[in-house]
Formats: sequence, structure tokens, C-alpha cells
Amino acid sequence: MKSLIGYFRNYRLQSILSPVFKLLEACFELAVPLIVAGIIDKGITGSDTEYIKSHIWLLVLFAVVGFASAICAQYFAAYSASGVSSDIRRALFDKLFRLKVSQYEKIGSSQLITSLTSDVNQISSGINLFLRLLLRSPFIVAGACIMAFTIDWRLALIFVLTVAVLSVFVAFNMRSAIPAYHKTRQGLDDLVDSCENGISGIKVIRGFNRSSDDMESFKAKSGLLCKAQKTASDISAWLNPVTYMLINLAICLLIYRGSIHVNAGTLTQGETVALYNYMSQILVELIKLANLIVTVSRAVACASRVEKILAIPEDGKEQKKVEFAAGSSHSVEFRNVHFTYSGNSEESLTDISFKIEPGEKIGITGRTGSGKSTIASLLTGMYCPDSGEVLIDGIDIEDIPDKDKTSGIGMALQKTRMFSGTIKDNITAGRTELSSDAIDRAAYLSCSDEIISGKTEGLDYKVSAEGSGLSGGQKQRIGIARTLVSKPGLIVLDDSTSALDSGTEKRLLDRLDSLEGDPTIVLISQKIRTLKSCDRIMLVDDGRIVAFAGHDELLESSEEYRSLCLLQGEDAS
Amino acid sequence: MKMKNIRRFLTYMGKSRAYLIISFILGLSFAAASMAIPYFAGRAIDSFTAPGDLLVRILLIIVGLIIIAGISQRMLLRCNNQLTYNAVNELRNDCYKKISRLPMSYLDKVSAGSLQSMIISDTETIADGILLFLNQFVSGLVSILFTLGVMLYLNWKIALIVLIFTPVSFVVSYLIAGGAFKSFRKQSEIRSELTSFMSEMTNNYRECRMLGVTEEKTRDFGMLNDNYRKTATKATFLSSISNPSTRFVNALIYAGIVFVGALTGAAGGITIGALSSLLAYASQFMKPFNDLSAVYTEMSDSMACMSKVFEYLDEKELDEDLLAVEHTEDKSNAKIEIEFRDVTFSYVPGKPVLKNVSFKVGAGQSFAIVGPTGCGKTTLINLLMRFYEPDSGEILVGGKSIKDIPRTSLRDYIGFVSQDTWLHNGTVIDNIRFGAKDLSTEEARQAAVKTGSDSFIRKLPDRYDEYIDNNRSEISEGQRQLLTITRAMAANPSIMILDEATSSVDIMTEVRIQKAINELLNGRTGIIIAHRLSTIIGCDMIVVLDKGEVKELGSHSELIGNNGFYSKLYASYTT
Repeated sequence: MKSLIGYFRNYRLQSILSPVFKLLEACFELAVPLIVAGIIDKGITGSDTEYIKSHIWLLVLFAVVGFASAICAQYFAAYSASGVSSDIRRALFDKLFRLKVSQYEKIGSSQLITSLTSDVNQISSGINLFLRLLLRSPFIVAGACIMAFTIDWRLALIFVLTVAVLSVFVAFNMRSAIPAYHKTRQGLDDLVDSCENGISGIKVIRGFNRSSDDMESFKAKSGLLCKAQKTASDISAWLNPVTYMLINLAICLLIYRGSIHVNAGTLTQGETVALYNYMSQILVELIKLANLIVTVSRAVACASRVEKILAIPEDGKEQKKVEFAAGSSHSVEFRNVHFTYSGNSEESLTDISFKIEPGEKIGITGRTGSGKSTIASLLTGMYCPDSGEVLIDGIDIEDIPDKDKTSGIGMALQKTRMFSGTIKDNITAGRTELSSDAIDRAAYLSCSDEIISGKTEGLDYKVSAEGSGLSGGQKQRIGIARTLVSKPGLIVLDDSTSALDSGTEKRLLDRLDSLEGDPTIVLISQKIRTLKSCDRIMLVDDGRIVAFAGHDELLESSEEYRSLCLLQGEDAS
Repeated sequence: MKMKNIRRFLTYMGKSRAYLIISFILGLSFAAASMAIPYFAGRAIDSFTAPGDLLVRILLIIVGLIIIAGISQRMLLRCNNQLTYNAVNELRNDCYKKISRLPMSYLDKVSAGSLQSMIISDTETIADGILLFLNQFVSGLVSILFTLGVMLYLNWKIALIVLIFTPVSFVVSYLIAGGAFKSFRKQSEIRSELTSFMSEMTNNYRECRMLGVTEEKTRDFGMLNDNYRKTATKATFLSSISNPSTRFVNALIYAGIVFVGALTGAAGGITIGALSSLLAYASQFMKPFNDLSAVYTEMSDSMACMSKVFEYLDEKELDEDLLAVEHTEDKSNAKIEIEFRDVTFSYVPGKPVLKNVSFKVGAGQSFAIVGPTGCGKTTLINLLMRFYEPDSGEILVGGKSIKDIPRTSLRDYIGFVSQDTWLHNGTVIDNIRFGAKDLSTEEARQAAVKTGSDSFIRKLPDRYDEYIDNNRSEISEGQRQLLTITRAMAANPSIMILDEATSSVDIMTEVRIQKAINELLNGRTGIIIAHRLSTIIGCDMIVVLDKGEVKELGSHSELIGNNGFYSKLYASYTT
């Protein structure tokens, strides 16, 4: 909570002015019943029309000034609430790209998106309401009691009693309402999950004739939500009637006791009316205060979640100043690299050491979970080794500045994510410095030119973020184009041709051989066919390198490799 | 149109129509009782000096009114909660049920996200509107009428002031609500832009990092964020001035009443008690107007959602399936042949995906479909399973046109595994049993052993009772695929369809699954689509598709001998 308060610095003035103006408005409101009491007692009872006329202007003046200060207060509150929350959102977004990839993945994208959207929005409405009601509501409640004391201390005791009873009731009501709303929230999340699952699995559900069972399970979840909603609303449905009854009963008591004092001559009728008015003011403000507490406590919970993300330590390691030239071809070296995914007990990579010369074409193969992709992630600096070193051109990859690293190393993944925009946008991914020649060339090299020429819009064909309209293989090819377009000196393709038919894949691999500058290429695949033409092939199993040599040599020396080839119909010939 | 939707929504409340009437009566009694209280409070103040127990009697009336008002309100709120949430629950269930009755062609057009937001968020919006309407509308209207009536009774001159101000109040709250609504809409537009940008960035996180475009993306975000801040400030401000404005108009009315009332009072024309009643009415006069304008805004949202939801519920459904009477033979023992006769199909009219496709799969044969990406392989499966209907031509299963076989019976014959590794939100065992509900735990386990999934399932913390959540990635893509294969295996169908079923498992696993699949295919009709030709070589029959047309048909050796498309494909694969 504390660290987020710093975000008020740009909105300090507004954040102070807003409650101050609110306070001003409250003062004017509190004065009204007293003026009216004076008018009744002096003006009506004393038949002083001059008094009435002069004091009416006071009422109008107070209304105008009160309105003006309220408008100012609301504006300042809205301004600083959206300002502060926007700054927090921006800080959060900036933070994302400064995290390590492993840190990011640990939090998970769904948590982050919740924080960026609903958490920040909740903080915004929390600030807004807090600034507006922070001073106003307690001030009016307390003020009304104090005013009552200035009129008659014995009757003021009724005020104190009423406020106490009401506060206790409201507190209890909220205490049971909050968990009930929590349950509603949970019910809604469950229902969303079930709905999402049912929609995305529609073909399987129909194919296995499970539509009616699926419907039943949705219905059950929907029923639970309905029940939770009814319970929660029912608890809240006590709030209004009970506070209403309590306040009005207090008014009855006030009038009854007041009549005794009026008859005794210690209280005027005007003052009784004033007390009556003060009591009515309390009701409205107390309910507002309860809402304020709910909203603010929700905002505080959201704030602490946001804070946790912002507080994640960034790269502890001091970056050395190194000269890394993003060249046309890079060497790679792993020295005794160990790596364990966070949350896993077993090592994913154990003592990996190897060296790749500039311009070499390397294949990595092995079964699912053997550690192929982990090697790729370390190779590109996405993850950092637990121990050991990863060197690019002899420089520790962690010392290379981000900008150089990304321009020197390119990687494409098996599951290519799309950006919403055109195919061209997806190839450039926002890098404005790329020429259209470079884009066309990358499209050709990745065999994406075939996709582009198949669309009437060509490069301007619109793609949604889900990549609808493109097949898995087409997305992979665009992903490869995206990687090649900046002409990196080290290219890693992590199973990114898996969805291509063998003809297209072969064409693509041939074109990769014609890359200018002879970049270092690392191909990861389960298919021996994809890797066969590589200078050397690394066989990985269980986080260790089993063998690392050329195809023919491996056929001779490695039993595992041979059996792998046989399984894939690759004869030893 | 609007009235029609409302009437239709009322049918959802139909079962509890009595509640609706009760709700109306309770709203009436709450408003009447609570609006009478200030009048009697004024009478009480006037009777301070009156002799006897007049004051006490009046106070007792007030206490009675307080109790009636309190209890009515409490019952009103409860009754409305029941009414609304029950009705919306049924509406929501209908919306979900509709999914299973819509043709795939419709579901392809709408995005999953918008369908889901309609089923969940839009129905919530309807509930919000209806609830507010039920809670506020009757009592709001009654309050306004009652207030004006009592005021007229107490002092017509003062009531006149209020009457003059009434349109002003209306206009003020209408203007503010309208302005706020407009800027809210703009805010929500920019918000959804911002949200989709952020979710794209979080989903494409690795890409952004790898490509080194974080600065560019941060800059884009900054622009959107700034834009959002400005509209949010405006929308928040506009919506928050409605309260002060109301208070201001109220304060002016109040001052007017004090002025006229005090002058009349000084001349002896009105009692202090009556004046204080009038003031009490005046101070809460704007509230029902505010309430009603809130009802109006919420209801217009609600109505918009209602027309969207009802339009969706009126979408044309799949034809009523034929009764599943004739197909009672034991499905697992039947050997079934499949025939495509001159089948033409297009997803988009004018762009046929399949053109005059004909072939025959003999009973018990294994049949492979080969061809480049996008040639229509998966479409064949979609038609066979009746996810879509062919434009022309016929598909026969067991010598019978599938049009004459109820979809459910047809699908009972078929087990399928697709590229998509969708799993049901539930435990592992639930998923294995997905196609065969009555399977015993032991049988399910045996199926898992056959496909080789047993070994990884046993490593899961809760083994077969491990809960599978599609958003969690503890289970790898390959393991998910294994589960989908196990699911089809457990269903023990007479026709097995494998559409790229092994694309995300490693070779070793694939070989193991292949053995199990071969065993399962033995004696069954099987259709296999695979990129890896090694999987296909052993099939009895191979059809080669290109651009939606059958190019070649025959066994592996025949096709190699033909020296055509297939042999070229095979050559490019082997060299």
C-alpha cells in the first residue's frame, strides 16, 4: 500500500483540494438547518419578515457556494483518480518488460491481465470515492452530532446512541455481506470457466454425444451462482430497511422528548425541526460511508496485488559494459549449464556443455520433455542458467544489452502467436525501421510468399490476435518471417516447422540455406528428416546431451540415434 | 419490438407471476407508508402544545408507519431478488442450451468470446436492469405523486413552487445522465481497445521480448493509456456531478419553500409543523427523480442486451434429429463401411472446399487421407460426423445415408481424435470416460495403459483424480494429446477417426500409440489423417486430395507405381 502512495506525487494538489472542497460543501450543508431554525423561531414565531428575507439569501448563497465547491471537488477527485491509476497501470506495464521471462511466466499472463485491468480500475474507483467521501461523510455524521449538542445536549444523546447502534448494525451487515459477495464472484468465475470450456470443446462434446451432460453441468454451476447471488443480495437487503427504521424511530423519540423540552421552555420549535433535519442527514451519509468502506477495502486488496508485482526484484546481476556487435554470424558456447524450472524438483538440464561455431547449422532432437526447448530458451537469453555460463561470441549472454541481444538472436516458436493487424504488421511486429524489401525477402525465405499471394489483400490481409483465417502451418511460416526479417546472426527455430507438410518444409529449409551472411542456425525438431542436412545433430535425453555429431557419424556411433531413424522410416542408407 | 421483448422476458418470470403482483403491492405500500411519515411528523410538532395525549397518538401512528414501511421494503427487496435471479438463471441456461442446437456454420461465425460474454455478462446486465426497475420504479412513481399530493393538501402555493421546479429537476437529471452515458460509452470503447492491446501483449510476451520490440510496444501503450486517462477523467467527472446537481436543485427548492412558507407562517397561514413536513418532503424530493433516471439508464442497457439475447435465441436451430430407434445393434461388433458419393461442400458459398469427392472405405479397412495443408482433409471428417451438411452428394455409413441416421446414433459409432487437444474441465478419469460414461475405473485405467498415458498419469499428484484445467499448463501438449487418444480408445467405437492425432507427441510415444491404435483399428473401420507418411504407409487404402478434389486412390504400393501426385509427395518426403 505504502509504495503506491508515491503515485499521488503528480496529483498532490488535486488530491488535497478535492477533500478540502468536499469539507467546504459539508460545512455549508450543516449550516442550513440552523438558519432554518432561526427563520422559524425569529421570523415566523416573532413575525419578523425582514429577518426572513435577509436570511433566505443566505440559504441561496450557501446552495450556490456549496454546489460550486462540490463540482470542484468532484473534478479534482476524478482527475487524480484516473491520473494516479493510469500512472500505476503504466508502471505495471513497464515493469512487465523489465521482468525476466521466467519471473513473468511464474506470475502468468492471466494474473497480469487481471492486475492491469480490473485491479487498476478498482484502485481508480477506490481513490475517487475515497477523496470524495473521506472528509465529507464522517464530517457530516460527526458535525450533525456536534450541532445537536450546541442545540441541546440531552437530545444530542439520542444522536450519539443512534449513530452507535447504526454503526454496529452496518458493520455487522457488511461483515456478512463481504464473504457472500466473494462467493458470488467465485460462482461467476466458475461459470465463466465452464462456459469457456463448453464453447471451445463444442466439436468434441458433440462428437461424443455429451451435449446434454455438458448442459447439466453448466446448469448446476449456474444454479449455484444464482443461489449465491440471492444470498448476497438478501443480506444487503437488510441494510436499507433497518437503517431506515432505526433513524425514523430515533426521530419519533426526538420529537417526543423535544415536546417535553419545548413545553418546559428550554427548546424552541425551530430547534426541534433543526434536530429532525440533522437526523435525516445522518442516514444518507452513514450508508454512503458503508459503501465507501466496501469500495476502499476492495481497492486496497487490489492495490496490494499490484504492489506485489511492482515489488518483484529486477535483474539482480549488475550488467557489465560489454561490446557486442550484432553481426552476421555468431558463435555459441554452453559451459556446464544447469537449469531447473521454478516449482520443479528435478533438473531440466544437467551439466550441458557444447560449442557451436559461427555459420554452423545445428539440429537438436530428442523426445518431448527431454530439454530441447529449454536449451533454446537459454540460448536466446529467455532464461538464465542456475549455474554455468552461456556465451555468445565469447560474451556472457546476461551481459549483452537487451537491444543487441534481440537484434543479434532470432527465435521462432512452435506455437506462433499473432498480433492483431495485417500480415505485414505481424512480420514487422512494430519495428518501423524495416524496409519493404527486407519484408518481401523474409516472406520469400519463410515460404510466406505463398500465403500472401493467396490472399487478395496480399501483405495487408488482416489477421486477428487469435490468428483466425490462418492455419497452424501458415502462422508458423509468418512467425519465421518475423524472425528472419531483422537478419539476426543466430537463428533458433524451435519446432517451428512442425505443422508444415513435408513439401513446404523442404522448400523452407532449402531457402534457409541461401541466407546471406551465413548466420548460425539451430533447428529443433523431432523429425530426423528436418535435421538430416545439419552440420551436426545434438541428441538430448533427460536433460543431458547423449550424442552430438553429424548425421552419418551418429548413425555409426549412436544406438539411440539409429533407432530413432528407424522408427521414422529413415533407413540407415 | 421493445414491448415484445419485455413480454417475452415476463414469460421467464411466468412461474412466479404471483410474486410479481406481490412485488407491485409491496412497492406501493412501502412508498405510501414512508411518504406519510413526514406529514405525521409535522402534525406531531404542531401538537407539542396540544392538550391530552394527541402527541402520543400521532407518534404511535408514525411508529406503525415505520414498521409497515420497513417490513414492506425488506420483503420487496427479497421478493425482487428471487424474481430476478431465478428468471435470469433460466434465461442463462436457455442461452447455453442453445449452443448445442446451433449449426456449426453459425458457431464458426461468432467468436467464442462474444458468445461467452453474451451468456454471462449480458444476462447479468439484464438482471441489473430488471432488479433496479422492480426495486425503484413503482415506489419512485408513487413517491413523486404522493409528495405532490400531500404538499397540495398542506399548502397549494408552496406545492406550486415545487411543481414549477419539477420539470427543471427532470431536465437536469436527464441532461446529466445523457452526458455521462455518452462519455461512458466512449470510455468503454477505449477501455476495450486498451484491454485487447494489453492482453495481446501479455499473450505474445515471449515474442515481444525475443523481437526486441518492447520499447515500441510500451510507446503504443503509453498513447492508449493517456487517451484512456483523459476519457476516464471526463466520464468519471460527469457521472459524479449528478449528485451535487441534485443537491443543488434540491437546495434551491428548499430555500423557496422556506421563503414562501416562512412568510405565510409569519402571517399565520401555516403551522410550523406543516412547514417542517413540507421541508422534509422538499429535501428528499429529487431522490425519486434520480432513482427513476437511474432506472431509465440501466433499463436501456438491459433492453439492448435483451434484444441481443433474444435474437440469438431465435437463431435457426439444427433440424430435429430423427428418433434413435432403428439403431440399436451392438455398435462395437458391427463392421461398418463408409462411402462418399459425389460430395461437394463449401463453407463460404461459391468457394467449394470439396469438389465431387467420391470414395469408399470398406468395412474394417484402414483408410488414409493425404494431401497438402488446406486441401480439405479435416472437412471430410466434419461432414462425416455431420458437423456440417454437404451442399450436394451423399455420404453413406453402413449403406445408409447419414441424413437418415440421427446425429447422436451416428456419432455413437465414431470415436475421433483431432489436432485440437481440448479436454473437459474435470478429473483425468472424467476425461477418459468422456465418450463412455459407464466405464469402470479399471477399464478406464486399462485404456490408459494401452495408450501409454498411464505412466504420466501415475506421476500426477492426484493420479486419475487430478483435476485438469485448460488454462493450466502443468500437463504438456503431448500429454494432453495422449489423453484425447485414450478418450477415443475408451469409447470403443466401430469407426475410428484420427485427424493429426499424433502431431504433438514425440516419436517414441507415437510409435507406442501407433501400436495401440493398430490394435484398436484391427477389425474396425479407421480413417487416418497424418503428415508423417510413415504412419500412412501401412493403411489398406489411401486417397490423395488436392484443392478439394480426389487425385488418386489406391494402396501405397499401387500409388507409388502410378508415379503420380502421391509418389512425388513420397519422394519429397524421403529425400
